[in-house]
Amino acid sequence: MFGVPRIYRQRWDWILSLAALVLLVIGVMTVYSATHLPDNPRHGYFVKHFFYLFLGLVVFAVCLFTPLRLWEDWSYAGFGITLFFLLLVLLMGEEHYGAKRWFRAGPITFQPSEMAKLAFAASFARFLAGKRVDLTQPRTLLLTLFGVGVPTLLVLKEPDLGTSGSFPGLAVPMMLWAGMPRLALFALVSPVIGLVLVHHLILWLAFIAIGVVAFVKSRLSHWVLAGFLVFHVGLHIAAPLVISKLHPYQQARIESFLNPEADPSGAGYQGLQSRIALGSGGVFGKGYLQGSQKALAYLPMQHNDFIFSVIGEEFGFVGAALVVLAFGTLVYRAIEIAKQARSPFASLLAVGIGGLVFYHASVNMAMTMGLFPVTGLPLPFVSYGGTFLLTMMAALGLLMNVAVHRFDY
Amino acid sequence: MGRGARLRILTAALAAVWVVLVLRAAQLQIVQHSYWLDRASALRSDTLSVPAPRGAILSSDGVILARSVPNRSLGVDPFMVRDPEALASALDSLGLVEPRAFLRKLAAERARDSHFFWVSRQVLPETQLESVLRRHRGLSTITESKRLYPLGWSGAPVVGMVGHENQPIMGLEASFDADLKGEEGRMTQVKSLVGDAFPDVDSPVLETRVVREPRLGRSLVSTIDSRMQEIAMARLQAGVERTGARGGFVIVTRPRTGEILALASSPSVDPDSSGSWTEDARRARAYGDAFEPGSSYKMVAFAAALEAGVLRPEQLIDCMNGRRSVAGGGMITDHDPYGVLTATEVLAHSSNIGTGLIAERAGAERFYRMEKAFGFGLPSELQLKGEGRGRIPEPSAWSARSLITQAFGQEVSATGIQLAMAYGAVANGGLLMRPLLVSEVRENDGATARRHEPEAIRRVISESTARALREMLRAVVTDGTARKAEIENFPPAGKTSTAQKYIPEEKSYSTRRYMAGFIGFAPYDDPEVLCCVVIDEPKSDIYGGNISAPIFREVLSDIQPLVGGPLANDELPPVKPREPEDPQEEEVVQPVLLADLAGLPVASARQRAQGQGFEARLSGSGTVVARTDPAAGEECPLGAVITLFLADPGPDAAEGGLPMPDLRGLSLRDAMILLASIDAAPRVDGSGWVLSQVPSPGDPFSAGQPCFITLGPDSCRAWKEQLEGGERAARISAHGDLLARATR
Repeated sequence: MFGVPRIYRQRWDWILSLAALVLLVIGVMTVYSATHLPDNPRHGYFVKHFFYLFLGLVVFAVCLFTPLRLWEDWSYAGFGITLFFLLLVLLMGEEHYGAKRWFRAGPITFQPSEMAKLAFAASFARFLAGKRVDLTQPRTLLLTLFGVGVPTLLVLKEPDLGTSGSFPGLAVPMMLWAGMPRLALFALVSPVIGLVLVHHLILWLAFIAIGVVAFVKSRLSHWVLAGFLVFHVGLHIAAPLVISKLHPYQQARIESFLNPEADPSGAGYQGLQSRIALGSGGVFGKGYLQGSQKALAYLPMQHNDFIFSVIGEEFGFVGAALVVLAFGTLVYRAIEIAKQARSPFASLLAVGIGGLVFYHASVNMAMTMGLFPVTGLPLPFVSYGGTFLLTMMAALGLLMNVAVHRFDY
Repeated sequence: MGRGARLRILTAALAAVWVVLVLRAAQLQIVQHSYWLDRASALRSDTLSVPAPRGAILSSDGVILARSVPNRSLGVDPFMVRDPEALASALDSLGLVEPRAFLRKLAAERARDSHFFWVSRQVLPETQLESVLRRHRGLSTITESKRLYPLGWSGAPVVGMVGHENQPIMGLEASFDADLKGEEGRMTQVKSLVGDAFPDVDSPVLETRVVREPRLGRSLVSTIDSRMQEIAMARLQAGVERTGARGGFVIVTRPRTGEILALASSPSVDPDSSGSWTEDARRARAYGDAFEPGSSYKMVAFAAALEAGVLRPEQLIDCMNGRRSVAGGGMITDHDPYGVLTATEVLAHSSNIGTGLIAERAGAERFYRMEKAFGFGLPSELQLKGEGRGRIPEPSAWSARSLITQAFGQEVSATGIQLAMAYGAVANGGLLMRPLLVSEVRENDGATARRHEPEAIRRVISESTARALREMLRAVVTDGTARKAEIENFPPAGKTSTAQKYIPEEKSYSTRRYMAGFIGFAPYDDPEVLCCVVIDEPKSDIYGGNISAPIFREVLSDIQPLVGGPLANDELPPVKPREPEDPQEEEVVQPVLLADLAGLPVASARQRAQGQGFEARLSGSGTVVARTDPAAGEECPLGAVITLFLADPGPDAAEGGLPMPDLRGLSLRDAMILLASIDAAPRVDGSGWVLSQVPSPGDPFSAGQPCFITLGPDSCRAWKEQLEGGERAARISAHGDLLARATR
């Protein structure tokens, strides 16, 4: 039928596609609502969103039907090209809001960091699936860290803190899936935890104590334990210095996260407005198109990074929970697909994609609800289009491709 | 670590994060829901005050002395402007800027990193700013109330003025602030900010709800006659300059009622320029400062002796050839050695010795009681804040020579108002009147809130004593020290004073610093008007008869046509209503005598002519009216066009083009006629009545320049009502009793 191989109908993941569809529909509705004002009908964003959505379906189909073998074979080359673009954008990209993230070709803007996410996921999956890769070997670990670190640092330089985090965000579950020892993973993630807890001395001490116990039980060399301790104490001391090296707007965001009411019209403005919109939505919300915070344009970036607030305001807790449920289902399906996939590359790729969606969705929602500092990350499938929607549709296509071919080698 | 364990870790991490997110959503949206709901509504609405326009102050002849108009100021942040050309042309279409100049200014302010400058401090109330504000970013407006003082410098000593925040500084503004200022209203407003999704859209619909209507300020009808005020100020100022004096004041009253018709003081302030508000210029010389009155106080001793029956005007008094040693040591002298004089001559020549003897005849107790009865040492109950009370010492504190020295006006102090009221009692047949400055306080709708009637405080002297004193004071002018006060056909009576200023630091009287005064009334047999002139430290001469009597004569000659007699009634013709919606009124064409407008500033001349029902047309250049065509006193039909020929009053007044006439409230036809008369290029917007104009009334204007007028039917209700209230009030007082009788 329609020339689609039968396998696509037999092995189609209906739950995955339903979850994605729910998110896309909510996205379309909310983008319309968020860019809709009673006395000022403006459909520009809405129409463009549809355009991107259509483009996204094309990309989805391409990724769905391209043989995975091809992805695996071309992944390194693709990754190399994206690294080149990441370098190039720093040199000659277009600047918006003080960041160099975009290339412009006529009316179309293009973010190389978006392309880099999938290229990195594919090549990292290929690398980890390699026969001789043993993540218990320190040399391999170092190589891995280098591979993750390069794109992360390049994107960080743009600067785009949120997007740069997506590389470790998808790499960590992949590495775990690839068999990395728990302790090594712990050691790898520990700097992030150490930084997050830098202002909570008691929690930080508890975390260090857990680390010490874990290292002692592992019976590794005492030098490793000593290294762990020295690194963390050093990090703890150096963290304020690191923060002082950040951009002023990033510092302000961290400060406003730690102390939300300090500057309600300044750095804390977005987060506060977002919580006001969400909180005033209540259980069932104010009704579709009825969000008053949104209507009076209090909500910043309401069609984009803060679209979850609009959902929360207009559809209430029910709507917010539905979105969380849809993402949960989607990422859970990614793990299931990874479990069933027989090809190591495909399996790792599924985990990477799950990690990518998980990272974006959880950080975006946490930020919207004031659990995380404000970082410019959109909500997958829901936020107003652009390159990011295309990336996510490509990721969905790849994931479905893996699902369909999960029994292939 | 097996596959299962790794799977469990992944699933557990996923589940943990998801549970935290759902719990957080529940916390915000369910547990804290009402808190965030309150935050949301607090954020969106704001309570603002609605300013209450300050009430107007009117003169008894129907001229507005002070009024408030709403005034909007428009500012811009050069860095927020996205499309300077479009903004410039939008503002140009409203007549607010000249586009090229604006663009230059914008660039210049940007270059010096300025984030704000004023586009216009006087955006007229009906300018259609809203659409521009909506379409362009970076603009902001403030609405303030602007106080206008048509009499300017001339009215300031009595009207006073308000500061930048409408806080009253002095005069009627300060004394009647509670009535004038009204009460602010309150309104709630739904605020709006601009989301990042709409960078080029400003302010979605705002919702405004008035919670409490403002109570507009009450207006005052004062007893001040604007023409007399201007005359008194002009004559005083000329006199002060002529004599090189530090300052001075002139009070004009109607002695029968105690009404104050003019209250002039020099130096004066320009109410529109706070830079001129020096402490010296703000001094209430006429009613705040108490000074030793000198010879004009002699009247008290004569009144006491006459009232007691111990003196007759023709009684002979031995003035001891100008030298008398008194008990307690010391010598009293006269400026000329006089022998035996009649009592009338003692007053006419202002003999200190003779006056002392007359005071002794009356006795200390009678003299002291007479001082008190005339109101010296007591507040006169003037309706102005900051009244001085003067001082007369208690008899227990008197020295052996106190009676004599007080009799010629030393050791005591008095204010100008006290002197005017005391002499007013002599003029009106013996009654001390309460000074009346505000006859009526009106609500904004024109209804009377309070009325202040003329009021006698007490009888001071009998009618016969008063008559005798008036005759004696008449002799001062005819045969005595005040010959320079004489006016033909309007015979005055009065008394000069030449008081040495007491220097407290030196505890002695200055031989160089004098207060030269003359206080008198006319006509002396049935006084219509009283005038008190005091000049502070004149340099050209020291004698009241030489310094102040001429000023008195000038003032009274000028105002004579305005007071009493048949001429005065013609001076206040019925004002022709200007509204064309009352066509019947327009058809009643009665000839009216044109008032004398010569010498008046252009604005008040025009106002006067329009008040009489004429169209005023300007010719020539200058700031005052030189002559008129037809000439003053000629019969003209209502609606006739009067040509005002302009000239400059002095070398310091000329300053470029004509002042822009006030077109507001006129019909389009009338406005066009006026504009044509000054060669303006009219640019008209809308239909109906003139609501606003650019340039503003009074702004310098040269021929050929465009004038933007905006017409409309009925916007800006409160502002119009106030204007109409003022005009209605003006008409009512001009019609005076006639209208009062008709409505009764």
